Amino acid sequence: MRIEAKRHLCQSYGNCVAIDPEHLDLDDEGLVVVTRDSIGDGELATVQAGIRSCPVNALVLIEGE
Amino acid sequence: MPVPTAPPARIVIVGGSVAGARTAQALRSDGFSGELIVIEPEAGEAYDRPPLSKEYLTGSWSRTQLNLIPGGWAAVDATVIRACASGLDVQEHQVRLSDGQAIRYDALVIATGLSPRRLVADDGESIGHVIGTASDADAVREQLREGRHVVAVGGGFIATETASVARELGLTVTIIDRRSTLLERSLGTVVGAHIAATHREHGVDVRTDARIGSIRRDGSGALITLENGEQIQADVLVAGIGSEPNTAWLHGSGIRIDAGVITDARCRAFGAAGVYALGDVAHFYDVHSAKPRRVGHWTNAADQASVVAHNLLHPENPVGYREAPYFWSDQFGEKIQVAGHPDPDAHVDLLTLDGPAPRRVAIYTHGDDDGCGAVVTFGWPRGMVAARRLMPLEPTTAEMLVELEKLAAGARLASVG
Repeated sequence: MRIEAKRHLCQSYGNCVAIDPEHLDLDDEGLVVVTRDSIGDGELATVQAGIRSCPVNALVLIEGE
Repeated sequence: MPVPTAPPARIVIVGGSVAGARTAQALRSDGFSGELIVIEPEAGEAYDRPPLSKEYLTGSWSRTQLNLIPGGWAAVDATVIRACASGLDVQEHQVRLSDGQAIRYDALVIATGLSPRRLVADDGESIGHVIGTASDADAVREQLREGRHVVAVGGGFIATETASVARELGLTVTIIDRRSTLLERSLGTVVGAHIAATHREHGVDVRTDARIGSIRRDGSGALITLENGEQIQADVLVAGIGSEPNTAWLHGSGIRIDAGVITDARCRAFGAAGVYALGDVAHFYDVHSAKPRRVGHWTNAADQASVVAHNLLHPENPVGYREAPYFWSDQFGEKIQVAGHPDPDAHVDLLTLDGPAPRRVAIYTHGDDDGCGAVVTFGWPRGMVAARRLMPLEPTTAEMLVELEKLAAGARLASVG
């Protein structure tokens, strides 16, 4: 499993970084970047909450990779 | 009654906007395999509301871009009943609907949100537009195509965002605000005056300390008379004068209501077992201030959804809600972002930080211990991310300023990878 960021959708709200700073950040342009794409044991709930915190659904959990 | 240890078999969510939708998603993500029923009178998929007075009103975003749940209600295996909840029987565990049906629940989630207040004309009937639903926004958008003079009543986010959109579309705009400056109640006078100045620079006629005496119907528009006798003609009239929690259906049910549904820190309503409330309608126990608080912001609703879902599915290991206050606005192409609850009486420093791009920020100092109570950034999302990271550590204003100055000067955010 990994997180994919659809940067063209990002509106710089920053909610995802507030919830899941271990995996996500905003770059110099204020757009979301995935800083670590591996999801460790016990991190899934936070990763999913981070994804849900995006009003424009710019983050997707890709299963099975 | 024994402490329940198994998750409920059937969860009913009343309200299908962000609080309801994100709760449904969180329940499924967290492994809930029982029956999920959503009661929502509006047709279509769950949609996002903040853009209704921003990108959707300008016409730059379509209705499908507002969809909250990828794949829609079907993707979270929810049965949506298109009806209004009209009553609640906590003994029988039933929600009564306006069409007479009763829906049984094992656990109930109240996510009914707010309804905007309307202006009343001198004939006693309501007048003008509000922006609460997508169809409200459609109606305003339609009128903005034809109207010449837009009058926004109120000094909050709906009025200021509508004014920004209308100017962008080339229309003449007046804001009528009864307070001394725009956004005074949300952001205080220093930042409010700064935003009012931006509106005036962009050609908005901002009338502050302006009280409406009467509103007369004038074709499809209105003739507004202020208490000082001045008259303002409106082709398009939009009210952003606050909203009321949708709790009428709960009256007499035993659920405790006081300016919203009162909840504890775990988002549980008082007066019945297995009933939760979240989002705009919830008057939750705020662990920071040790007081009840009602918050009408998107992030509060989405964050509470995770707490409600967890507590429904893991009653043996409940969690409390700890708000990380945050909201935003978009005006004249600039993103205004706010962390914390700005106290209108706080000392406010409105500063421009030096760096490759000068950064405008406002820092609120609350109380007399120099604590940073809130931060506002203007068009600087990375600055807001840094502020939101620091806020839970309860920094002083000086500590917050050092962090933001470093970032503005070109320092990178602390690496997390």
